[in-house]
Amino acid sequence: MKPSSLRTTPIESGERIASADLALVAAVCSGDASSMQLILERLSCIARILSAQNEQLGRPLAATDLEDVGQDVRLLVLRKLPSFEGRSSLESWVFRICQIEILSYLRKRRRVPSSDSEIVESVKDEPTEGSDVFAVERVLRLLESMPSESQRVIRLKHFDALTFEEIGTRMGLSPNSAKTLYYRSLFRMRQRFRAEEFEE
Amino acid sequence: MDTHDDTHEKWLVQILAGESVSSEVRSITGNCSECATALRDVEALSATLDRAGELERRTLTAPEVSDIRQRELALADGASRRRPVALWVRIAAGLLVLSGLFLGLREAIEGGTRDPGPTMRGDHAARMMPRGEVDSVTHFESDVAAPPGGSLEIRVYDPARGNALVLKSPPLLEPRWTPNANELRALPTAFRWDIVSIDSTGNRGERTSADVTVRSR
Repeated sequence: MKPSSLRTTPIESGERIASADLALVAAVCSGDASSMQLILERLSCIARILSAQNEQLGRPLAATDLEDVGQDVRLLVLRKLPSFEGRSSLESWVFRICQIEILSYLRKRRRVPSSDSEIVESVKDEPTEGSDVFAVERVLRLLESMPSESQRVIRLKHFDALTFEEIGTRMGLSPNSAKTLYYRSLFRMRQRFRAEEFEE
Repeated sequence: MDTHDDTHEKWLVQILAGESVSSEVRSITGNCSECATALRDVEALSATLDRAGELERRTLTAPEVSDIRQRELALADGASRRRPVALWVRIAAGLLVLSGLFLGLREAIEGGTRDPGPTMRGDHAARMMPRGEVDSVTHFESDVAAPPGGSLEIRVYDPARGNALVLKSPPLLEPRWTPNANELRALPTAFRWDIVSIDSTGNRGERTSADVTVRSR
């Protein structure tokens, strides 16, 4: 996999905030065994992340299921290490991978999040159980496929719940430019969504 | 210009972002049914992103992962006080990663293993490579055949950690798998691996195992 830092597209304005983690990953990719050991220790966060996510979804997965997901996530993270850009901490990056994979596991096993889960109840629009949560999985996967700048502005808006003025400050843009970037990114995401549906 | 195309979407972005547009543009987009569909889709997408964001924020308040959010806030706060990383530093980091991947790949290709000989599997002697003591591991290979319409799966375990799963192949049609450079580096010095057939209904067949010790680690 080609490291994202060597993309031929113009370098986005977003800065890398987790330079220490980026350096650690670079050392792992260059073959440093002690750095690999450090990474493996850091990946012990996967179990507690999945536990917290499972809790929020109403505990639809048993301990053995969580172990299965954890093993798959660990392997996936090692495979995707070259794509880590240091725009967040390693744990935050792993958190996002965990979120997608636990929802994917639920969908494939046809496990529905418990109806007494507060978060599921608060986001349900239709009687069809779990469909909304699976829509979240799809959107999260789509978001991961977007260019870095688009991912960043969408996360700052929807995940960090920042205003466009705050987003602009973070990204070195005027509020209006941040707003334009945001809506352009949303429309691009919508185009990809439609393209996926067409392929299906 | 009345046919819906990228220009319409560009106008919709301008309108949503509050930029000034002509009354003609507003009229065109207002009368375009595909523009209306696009706006509904974007609204739905935004709503789902809000839910995703809420799910993440709620999860990050859990005690077992609260450190993740704290670390992120600290990093973002520190970053806002720093200058952006110089372009040459970013390029150098990228070249380091790329050269590491190249060296790892070359090591994987040039690393040697001895033919381990067969591992008995019922009445059939299954060939498993690697097996026993080897100089390095470049790939996994056997002569176990995939069932018609089915596949094979290779898994690697670490006996020193209670046989924890270390690596797992994607579904294979041939009994050969080459992990990437990072996956090969994640292999412990001593491990057990097995290959299992999976039929078209998902049922798993007999599993064939081999123990390996890598000398050079």
